[in-house]
Amino acid sequence: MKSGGRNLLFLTGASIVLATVATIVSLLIYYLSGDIYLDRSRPGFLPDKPEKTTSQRYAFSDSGEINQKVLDDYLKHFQKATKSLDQIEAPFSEAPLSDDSLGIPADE
Amino acid sequence: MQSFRTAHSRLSLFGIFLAGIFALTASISPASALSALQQGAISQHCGTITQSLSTLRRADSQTRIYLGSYYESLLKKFIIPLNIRLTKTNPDTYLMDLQNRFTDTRNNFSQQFIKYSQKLDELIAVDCRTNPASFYRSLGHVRAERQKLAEITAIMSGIIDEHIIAVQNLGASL
Repeated sequence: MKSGGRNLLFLTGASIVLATVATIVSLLIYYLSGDIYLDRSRPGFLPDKPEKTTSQRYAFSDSGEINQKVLDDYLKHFQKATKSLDQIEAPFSEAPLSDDSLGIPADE
Repeated sequence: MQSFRTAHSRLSLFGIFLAGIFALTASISPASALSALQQGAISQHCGTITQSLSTLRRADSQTRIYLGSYYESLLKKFIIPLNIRLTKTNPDTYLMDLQNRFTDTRNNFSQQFIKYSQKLDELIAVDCRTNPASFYRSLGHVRAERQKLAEITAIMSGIIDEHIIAVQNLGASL
């Protein structure tokens, strides 16, 4: 085999090794940093149906005067936004992990 | 007589050591309280339990996204712009403090969700059919992390309520 061919083989092998190492390191960082648990795009975590959107058109302007009317308007929109939060009853309650929910009988 | 005393003292020390180990194991291991009936039920319904936990993991992920995006929205569209506007005219230290607490708690929420999810993943990985006691011990850890997560969401709700009252008081003082 000519030296050109050998170099090409070496370059291909080195590229594959480098890509493999870089992928392993990236996945390791992805897992160890905890980003994997915040990522909704991973398989099995995509929503089945369109989710409730949190997008709100209203945004309070960061410039202008502050008076009673402005604050009333602010509170009206703020409370409207927080009403959606109240729809989730007791988030992360202990019920789904209770012995009863998991079908573990009570200790006798 | 001397050797008898030495042997007695060694035996006492060994007894204290064993008692200490037993007490420590009992305190850190909820599985020690697991009855044979419970172990049998966990082994028997292992598939169903694991399925429930996987469904819960997915539902929790959706709840996290829902809450997280709302917290983000409240912060960026309401709390921060209000404080910026107040800074230009009449800075309110209490509202600024609430903003800082809101930001810190929101970060804690994300970090705690990661810890909880890691524990939940570890729990799902335990083979409950062959090792129910270890499974139940891990379940105790997951419950503890979930409780912390619930406490953080309660703190967030408390800060939101405080913010509303603070803005009402500010309006009344103008």
